Formats: sequence, structure tokens, C-alpha cells
Amino acid sequence: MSSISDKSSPMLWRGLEELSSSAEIAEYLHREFAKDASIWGELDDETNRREFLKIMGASIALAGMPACTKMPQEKIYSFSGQENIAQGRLFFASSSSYRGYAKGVLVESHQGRPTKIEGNELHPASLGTTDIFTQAEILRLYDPQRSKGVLHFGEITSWEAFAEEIAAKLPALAQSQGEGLRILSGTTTSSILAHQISLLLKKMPKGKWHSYEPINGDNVLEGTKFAFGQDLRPIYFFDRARVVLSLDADFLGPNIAQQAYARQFIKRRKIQNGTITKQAFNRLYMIEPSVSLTGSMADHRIALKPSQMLGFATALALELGLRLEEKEAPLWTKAYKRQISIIAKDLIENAKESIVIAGEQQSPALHALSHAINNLLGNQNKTIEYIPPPEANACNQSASFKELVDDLNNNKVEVFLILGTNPAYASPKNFRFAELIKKAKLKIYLGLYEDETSYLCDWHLPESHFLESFGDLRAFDGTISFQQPLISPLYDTRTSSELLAIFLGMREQSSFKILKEYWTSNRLSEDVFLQALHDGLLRNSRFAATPAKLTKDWQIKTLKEQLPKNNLEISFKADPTVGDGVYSNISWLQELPKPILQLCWDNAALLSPKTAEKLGLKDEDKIELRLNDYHVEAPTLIVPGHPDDALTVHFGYGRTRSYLASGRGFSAFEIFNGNYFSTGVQIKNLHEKWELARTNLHYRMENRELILRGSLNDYLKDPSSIVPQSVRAPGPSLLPKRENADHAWAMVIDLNSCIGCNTCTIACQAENNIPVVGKAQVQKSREMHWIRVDRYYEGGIENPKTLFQPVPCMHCEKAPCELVCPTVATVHSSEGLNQMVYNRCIGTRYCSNNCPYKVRRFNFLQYADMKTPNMRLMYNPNVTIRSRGVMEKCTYCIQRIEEGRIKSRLENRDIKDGDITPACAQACPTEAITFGDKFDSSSKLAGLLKLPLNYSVLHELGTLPRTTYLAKLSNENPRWKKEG
Amino acid sequence: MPQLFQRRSNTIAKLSLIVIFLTPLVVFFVFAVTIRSPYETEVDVALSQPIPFSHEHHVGDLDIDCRFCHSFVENSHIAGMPSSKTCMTCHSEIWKEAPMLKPLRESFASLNPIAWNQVNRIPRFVYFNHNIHIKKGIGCSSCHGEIDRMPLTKKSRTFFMSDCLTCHRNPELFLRPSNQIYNPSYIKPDDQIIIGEKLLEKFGTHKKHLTDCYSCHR
Repeated sequence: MSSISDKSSPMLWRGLEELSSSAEIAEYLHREFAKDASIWGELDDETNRREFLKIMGASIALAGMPACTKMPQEKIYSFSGQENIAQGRLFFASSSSYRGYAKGVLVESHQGRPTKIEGNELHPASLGTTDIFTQAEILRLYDPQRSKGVLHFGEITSWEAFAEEIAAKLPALAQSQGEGLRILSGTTTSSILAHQISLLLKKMPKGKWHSYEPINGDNVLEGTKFAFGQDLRPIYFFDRARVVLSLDADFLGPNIAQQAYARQFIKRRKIQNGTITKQAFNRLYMIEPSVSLTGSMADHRIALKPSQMLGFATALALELGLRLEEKEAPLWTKAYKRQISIIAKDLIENAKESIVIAGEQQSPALHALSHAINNLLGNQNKTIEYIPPPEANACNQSASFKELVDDLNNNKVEVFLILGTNPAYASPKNFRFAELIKKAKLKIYLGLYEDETSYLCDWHLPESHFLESFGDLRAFDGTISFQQPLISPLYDTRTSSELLAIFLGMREQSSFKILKEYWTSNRLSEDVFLQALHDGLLRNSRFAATPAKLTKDWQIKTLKEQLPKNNLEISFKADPTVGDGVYSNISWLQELPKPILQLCWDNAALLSPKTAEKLGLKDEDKIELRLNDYHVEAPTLIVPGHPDDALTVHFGYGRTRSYLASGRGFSAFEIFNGNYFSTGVQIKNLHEKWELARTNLHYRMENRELILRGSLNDYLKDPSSIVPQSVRAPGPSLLPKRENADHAWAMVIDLNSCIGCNTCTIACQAENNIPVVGKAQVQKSREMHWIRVDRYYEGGIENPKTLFQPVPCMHCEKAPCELVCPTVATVHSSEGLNQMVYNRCIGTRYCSNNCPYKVRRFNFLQYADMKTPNMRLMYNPNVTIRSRGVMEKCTYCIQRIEEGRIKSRLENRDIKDGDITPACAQACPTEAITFGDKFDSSSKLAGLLKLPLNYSVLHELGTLPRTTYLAKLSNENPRWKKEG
Repeated sequence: MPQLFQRRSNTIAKLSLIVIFLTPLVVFFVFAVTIRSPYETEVDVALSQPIPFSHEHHVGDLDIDCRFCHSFVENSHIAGMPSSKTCMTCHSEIWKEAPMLKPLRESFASLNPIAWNQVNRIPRFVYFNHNIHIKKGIGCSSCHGEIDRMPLTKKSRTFFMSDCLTCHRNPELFLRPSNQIYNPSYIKPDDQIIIGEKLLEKFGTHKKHLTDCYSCHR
């Protein structure tokens, strides 16, 4: 490690390895491809050169033979009575659920099959875009491992048998007024569910409804209770804020309002028409005990230990002049005195135009403090509003769960109904839920998958996916959102509302009938209801802001001095891609490189370079984490910018009863005790390796200057100073000149807007039938994503700046790949697209070797699943499924270009700007990707190309890429010169 | 010691040289002929169908428009097969007891569509759109042949890539006026090139893009 810190760092770097001087690492870095990329060892270890030649000889001799086989005879049918499904793509509005909250979607349907999920422009939590989880829901619908039938003690049975048993139980339950009836759900915003449960509990008043998810909003609710004396949820308006101070709030990362917040925040950073004023541009300060997407976007970032967060906030509050009972900030904050006064000054100067936001997992005290600061700055009702919690069962979930566990322990639970949550895995270990659940008499589990909890239950009832059911939810701002099915249930599944209907004595009630009856009885007229169902939401139904007045004694019990102790601290967070385990069976999300960490298929204990050095740890070391009486084995991952003397671990891995995720990573729940931050964690080096699949060094471009960036001040002084003129003028080239036809497709990616969320990657995967390759193949640098989001660091390893760059195919006008293909499998289209013809490709991989951007992906093995019937239903029928030995890459979503073209030609008009949107651009929450016609001077794209921030990557090669970038601007506070 | 090689060896040696060079050519030739033969391409081979439907009778004799049965062709990438309801508009009145039409009556009663064997097929990596071809002056019979003379439906073309390219390279040689699209026995006029050029302009078809790979392959 010492070799790392000694060396001066290059301008941009991707991994600590690059800063190291070890010969082995230098060799690794110098290879263009992973070490055994050219070896087919995994096929057969015995295979040697002679064997290879034999097989090759035979292959060549027999190459023509497949042409002799006839195409299989196929049947064609009429779509009688379903004429509309013949018309290609149709879209239906619905709502996906993220942690119980609605995100509006439009689902694309091909001949009756949902194949792709897009955002719903009308919906406040979507704004026409999606997040990675929403995109991946389509794979969950068709997941062959979803549970398919009712199981009773593991034996296949039926819903009728279940209904019989419940019908037999109901009279006794009603007699005892529901004594011993317990219902456990996750966070939910469904009015239907709340209504049904309240009906049930009216009949059986001694029953109870508990809600629990390990990642919950308890601290937010407690915080508002402290501050305002009532249960409220803050919603923020980042587009109204000039200065944002985030105290560990990852509002740009996965959260219930990710798209809305990201859009608002980036709105104050976009250079749209070449103009931006200093007033319009926002500034973000991030104080965090870990690393996050929001931290990467910050203009100034301070990494603190978890226990220091409250102390820092107290010092800031005092500096702002907030009257606290605590007159002195903790002593250690003196070290940050300068930064604190700078932030305070900036906040005061921008009073009523600033936001102080506390992280969901931070203590209630910190939340209360942030509300008080916002109140002091006059931000309330300007940049922040408070609304009643949209949750249907708003409660302190941890307390609710504790009560349930106690009841279980005291044998008070007779009938235990679990709705779609998995506490046997996802709950604090010291609650011993998995043991205590056995004490319940009748355990009923409704869920999409068989999992840790379902194995402990008597009845496993398969749940319908949201694309198979009617339902309702609320968005983060309270907007009523509706779900409608795109397909009838693939298996013998039912929704939670249909299950509760059984408990209410109505056996065969469809989710539609339940939904319609609820909403049209004294709530909405039938027309309004049907329109809302069509739109996916009830317009203008968000909660109005509740007046919230700071209580006099808001800080009682809150601000207790929390002196940082000199031992190792740990923070628990949801995994950036698989959440708390809800998404762990979705292979797309498993293989998606986690933002910043660039880790696939595993989680790890994250620690800073300095801490690792102190503990004598390297990357991918197996360690034992011990917290109080619990312990777990984990791999290490050194993360630049992580606070020292602290660890971060993610939930969601270490599953034991999940088809895809079992045995991957480690379960942070093993040492979780309900507190998101703990001190006194002990580490033991087990002196073993735990190999991880990381993509941070894949497809490197040899430390060349790929991300141009500058400060807002420099830009305002001279807009052309960020991107030198020499980079903007096309360089000389020996490659042939091309003439263009009517259109010149091009793409501009605004690095200033990119938050690194990876949604583009997943959207592309869903649209273009991109296969998943698995951990072993990722380790060999064989991941197939057509658009990758590269992560770069700038500056020292202590607190580097993090930069993101999405890289799709550049569609070079003078493409180096085209010249080297021996079979002319990659050629230029008249409109400037670099076309890949799969049928001509024989897999020499010359094109990939010659591609300076490393955007071509090769099917080393048969990655695409062509056999599983479910998967065949899911594939986009307009995109060829590639087989082994074929090169592939981004096509700019040619199927959408052609569809747009055909549509416009049918209407006898030219293609308009906005007719064609590739999947990545459509999904991007911040509209960082713009696609269009270069020749159309009125297009949005042409406007962006004219900006002085526009540049092409590796400009000096003269490839004239059609994909270009807008340089990134930062808005540092001039007072903040020396990094803290 | 006698001669090791007899006099005829010379001839054999010469012949074998010729054979060695000829064999690959012959193999190639046989192969090339085979893949173009109806055995392989199924051109002019009538497939067996659940009902021996005659286009000759329905189109040729009765003059029923293509769109009466293939009703999606103007709105969709697929032409669409008629539902049994469409057939029953007439066949509930005529030939209603015919044993030949038993599958139709069963389908109508059970709502299960009839499973026809697909005659005109293109590979999966080709994305063909009926809609745009119909709207831009390509008639049905350009690809499907003189359907009004087919008692049993059969392929009239190989649907090789070269078939598509002849037209995609020079669409003006094949374009028809819009009112002739559904005419199965349309005959090109003598001044096709002049008419074709005019139609090309009228339809606003951009020739250059038609030969891009991505026009058909995605």
C-alpha cells in the first residue's frame, strides 16, 4: 500500500491499482483484454492447440452444412377479436412499486406480451423516466424462478384448499375478536390494502397490523415528530435551491423520489442554450459517512465517521446562530471550523433558496436539527414542504416489528399472515425472527418467490407481479397511482387484495373488482376512475403541504453529545443495485456494476485506503466482522473517499433461500442490530482471498484525458476555455470520407447532468435483449453491457472527486472497426450509423481490438438464453438475439429509428426531432442523453453540438465520433481553497 | 525388373489431376444448385393445410379483395390471418355442411384459431414490415406471386436476400400506382421506368437508405 500513496497520481484514475508500482499490476493494466480472454479453458481443460486445429478444420469443412437445413415449419394463427394487438408496440400506464411507493410507468406491449417498461411523463415520481429497479421489473415478471403454485408444507396444493382452511378458521377467529391474528407487510402506500385490513380488523379488533422493512423511514418520521410534534414527511424542491447541504442524504441515489429529485437538482446545472448565470447554478455540499452518488456530484464533500455526523451538524447549527441547549460543538469539529463557517455563510447568503437535507438513516435528532436549520433559513414552504406520510400504515416500523417479535415469543400469535416481505432474512439478527416465527400456529406467506421466510411458513401463496394485477399506490408526494395488468397471471398467482378478500369471506373476487368497488364508492366517479386507470394516476392528487410549526421543545432528548470514539465504526446501507434483498433474484441488477464501487454479483465491506493500511488489509481479503455477539465473514473493498476508521456494509446479499442469489456475498443482517450505525466493530483478517468481480479496470483507455471539466467561474469568464479549440476542430484522418444521406444520427451525453445512476445500462439491456454472463465471465472482462458508465477519480486517494462517463458506441464517421473486418460484418450506413451485421460475423474480434473506445462486446459463449420459454416471451421481438461467436454493440436503438422512420413515412412527412428516442435517453432521469439528427439545425441535438462545452473523446485519433460529450462544470465555493 | 508403372498410369495420373481440381467445383456446383432448387427453397411447393383453401377460387373467381381477410396489412407489420368469424360470414350459409370445412366450424365453435402452415417465410433476423411496402407502392403480387392462380397456396419466390435487394436497389422498376397494389395479376407497363421514377418521387422514397443493412436487419 505504501507504494500507492508515494506515487503522484495521474489526472484521472479508475482504481488504486493504477497508482501502484507493482510489476504484476502493471502487467494487468497493460493488457488490453483480460488475461485469459483468448483461452477457452472453461470449456474443457484438456483442449490443446492440436485439438483446437482439429475442431477448427472440421468447423470450416462443415461450415456450409447448416445452409442445407430447412427453416423449421411454423404455424400462423389469427388474432380473432384482438385486432389491436397486431399493431406493434402499445403502451399502457401502470405503477411500479419501489419500497412501497409508486413510480409511474408506461409498459410496452408486443402482441399481448409486456416487454419493456418506460416512465410515465404525467407521474411526479417518474417524469417519463425510470430507475434501475423499475427497468428490471420486466425480468422479474418473466423470472422462471418465481413461485408458480400454492404450497402447503412444501406440497403442491391449490388456492381452493387454502380458502377452505381459512373458511374453517374464520368463525373461531371472529369469535375471539381476532385474538392472535397478526398481519405483517412491508412499507405500503396501498389504500386498498389499508381499507381491506381495516375492514378485517373491524371484525377482529384484537388482531394487529405490523409493517416492517429493514430500510424504512422511521428516523424521518421520528425527526418530524421531534421537530413539529406530528408525523410528517418532508418533500424537497431542489430546483428552487441554490445551495444544498446534504447530511448523508443520497437524494440522487436509489430512493423513492430519485427521478424527481435528480431532475430538479440537475435543472439547476444544465447548460441548455449556452447560457447559465451564476445565480441559476446550484452548489452541493455533501457530508457523509460513506460514498454515494450524491457525494460524487458534490462540489465539496467531507467524509466523516458515522458518529461525527450529529456533532458536525450541531457545530453548523451553532455557526448559523441557531439557539441550542448545547452551547458548544464537540471539540473535534474545530478541525472543520473553516469549512463549517464557509458552508454556514453560503447557506445564510442563500436563505430561502437553500436546502439542508438529512439522510433517511440518520438519527431522528439530526433530522430534527435539519428541520430547525431549514426553519431558521426560511426554507420551509419555499424549498421544502411537509406532507402527511403517504404510507398506509405509517408507524415506527422497528417498534412495530419489535412488538410483533415479542408477541411471537410470548406465544400470542395464532394466525400469522405475511404479505410480500421477507423478515426471516431481512431483519436484525438479534430479534431472532427466524426462530420465533415457529411459535406461531398458522403461518401464511404471500410472495413472488420462495425465500427464507416462505420456507418457515405453513402456506406459501404465490403473489402476482404488478404487471399481472390491478392495484393502487401512492407516490412520494401522495399522488394516487394505479396499477393495471398487461398480461393475465402467468402462474396460479393472486394479489394481496385477492388474498385479503378470502379473509373477508369473499373467495373469488378479482383485483379489478376490489379496486373499482373501493374507488368508485363515494370517492371517484366511474369516468374519473377509468381515466385515472388509463393515466396510471389520479391527476392533482398530491398531498397539500401541511403547515408545520417548530415545537418549543423540539430539541429535548435529541442533541446528546456523541463523542467520536477511537474505534472502528460501521454503517449499514441497502445495496445500490439489489436493495435489501428484494431484487436479489434479478440477474440484470446482480450484474450491473454498482455505481462508484464497480462491483458485480457480490457485496463487500468498504473501507478507506488509510484504514486498510492500518489494519493490514488489501482488496478482496476475507475478513471476519464481529459486532457484539454476532459475526460474519466478508470480503474487503478499498474505496477512495471513504471516511477513515469506518466500514460500510450493504444488505441484500448472503441469501440462503434464493435461487440466483444464494451463496453470493455475505449477509450484513448477521451483525445488524437495528441501528444503521454502530461502533466497536472488530475485524479479523482471515488471510484468505475472496475474489470479487469488479469492472473498474475493464475497457481502460490508457489514462487519456477523456473527461473534460472545469469550473463555472472559468466558463462564465470564457465559455471556450473549458474545451480547447484544438479539440473541437476535426483532426486530419487517412480514413475515407463519407457522404451522408438525409439524416445524420448523433448523440450528445451531458456529463454535467450525468449522476452515474446506471439506469441507461439497464434500460439498454432490457431494450436490446442483452444477456447476463455471470460472475466468472465478468471477472474475465466479458460483461455485455452496450452502454457502460465509467467511473473516474480525480485527485488524491483520501477524498477524490468522482466522475462518471457513460460510454456507448461512438458511431465514428471514420470507424477504425470497419476497416479491419475480414467479412465486412461491420459497415457504415448512409446515415452514419456503424452497423453490425450479426450474420456475417465470424468472430475474429479484430473490430474490437481496433476500437479505441472499447465498446464492442463479444459473445464468447452462448450467453443469450434461447431455450427458456419465459425468457423468449420477454425478449424484444424487434431485436435479434445474438448467438455464440458474434460481436455486438450499441446500435443507437436502430429498431426505434426504423420505427420512427416508418411512422413518419406513413404519414408522408419527414422525421421530426423527438420522434426517435433510444432506450438509454428515454430512461435517463436527468435527460443527460440527447439523440437526434445532426443535419436538422432546429433539433435539440444540433443546439447542444454548438455549445462550447461539446467535445469528442479521443479526438486526436480523427475518428469523428457521432457520440460526443458536454464537459462537466463544477461550482466550487471560491472561499474553499484548501481541501479539508 | 518390370516397369513399376504401366503405360496407362500416365493417363490415370493426368485424369486424377483433373478430378482433384474438378471435385471441389462439382461439389460447389451441386451445393449451389441444391440450395436454389425447390427441394430446398420450397418455391412452388404447396404445403398441406388444415383446410385446402383455394386462393384461385376466392381471389380469382370471386374477386374478394386481399384486405377482406388479411385485414392488418395496411396498419401493421404483419398482414394478419382471418379469424374463423370472417370465413363464417359466407360459410355459415354456403358449404355449411362440407366435411372439408370441419376444422373451420370447430374453430368457430371453440374460439381456437386454425393453425395454418406458414407458406411465405423470412428468417428471424429480417424485420419486414407489410404496412410501409403497401403504402409506398409495392403490390402484393410482387412478392406473393399470382395468388389468383393458386389453387393451393405456395411460395412464388425464394425470399433470398437477393430477392429483396433487386427491388431495394432499384425500386422504380417495381413500383405501382396506389390503386393497383391489390391487383394480383398486375402487369408492368412498358414505360415502367418513367412511371416508377415518378412514383418514387410521389411516395417520397429515399433510395439511399434502402440498401443500408439496418433497414432490414437489427
